[in-house]
Amino acid sequence: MTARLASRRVAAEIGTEEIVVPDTVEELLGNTDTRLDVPWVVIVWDDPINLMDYVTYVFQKLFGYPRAKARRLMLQVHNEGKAVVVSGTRERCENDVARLHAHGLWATMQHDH
Amino acid sequence: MTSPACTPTGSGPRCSTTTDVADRPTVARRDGAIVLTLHEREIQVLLWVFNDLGRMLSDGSSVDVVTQRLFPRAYLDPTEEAAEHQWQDLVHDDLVEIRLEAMTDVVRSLDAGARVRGMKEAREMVLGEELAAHWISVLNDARLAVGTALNVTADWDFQSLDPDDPGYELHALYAWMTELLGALLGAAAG
Repeated sequence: MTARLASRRVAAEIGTEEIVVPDTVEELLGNTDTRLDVPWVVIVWDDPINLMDYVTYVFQKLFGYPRAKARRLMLQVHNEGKAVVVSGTRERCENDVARLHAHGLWATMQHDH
Repeated sequence: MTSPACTPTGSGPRCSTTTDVADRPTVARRDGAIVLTLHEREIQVLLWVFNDLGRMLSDGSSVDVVTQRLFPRAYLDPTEEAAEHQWQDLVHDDLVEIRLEAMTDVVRSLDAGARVRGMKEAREMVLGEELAAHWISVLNDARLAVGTALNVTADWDFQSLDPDDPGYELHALYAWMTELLGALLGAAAG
């Protein structure tokens, strides 16, 4: 995104028209709801086999979460049946779902409604 | 319900399909590594389990409940069926390969286990950080496979099982692997 904005600035300078080109993504987006950038979420579902300590361990290992946060998410999975563990683009979520599956967790992804 | 950290098996599970696995697994930390000590018979049981799991992973044609549990869907939304197929095509072989590579490392460490002075028929494996992670991952896959095949539910309790149950020995194996995984996770957490 940064490179593309830089190109637009150069194009504006060599032209004859005065064009206001934003310097940053934030400036470009203005007050736009940035949640539009993260329309996907990864959900980990409860299952009767994975150990509580194992689920905590995987959250720490894959996402670098501090133990307290990893444990809080694990307990949400345990008590509520599921928890959103990460959000982002479709590509990022597909990658994280694959990493969670590689570790035996039951994970799916969906639009963040 | 996610399974509690460790299954209480006060008297230790029996697993006499090929032999008895009656001792609690010995896991300790030494010089920053995890030291896992297993009886020769326990090693043989694990090799049998891991080889069986490896064959199932390599086969790739199975669509049973165990395979479905190890390789679940990414999308539940039926309108994303095309994305699901595309994703499966993209990652499935990698997921198989990652698991088989980890298993190869674990089996190699079992084969290379060193004899323990003063402990007849025991071998110890020294697990560095990466190997310990592979052990935890492979053991968890084995529990998923066995637990799914046994249709383990949230209220599963080994102690309440009837020793005359035809599936008792497989339940015992599952309970023992649960205890071993719990011990490894405890050691990994320091």
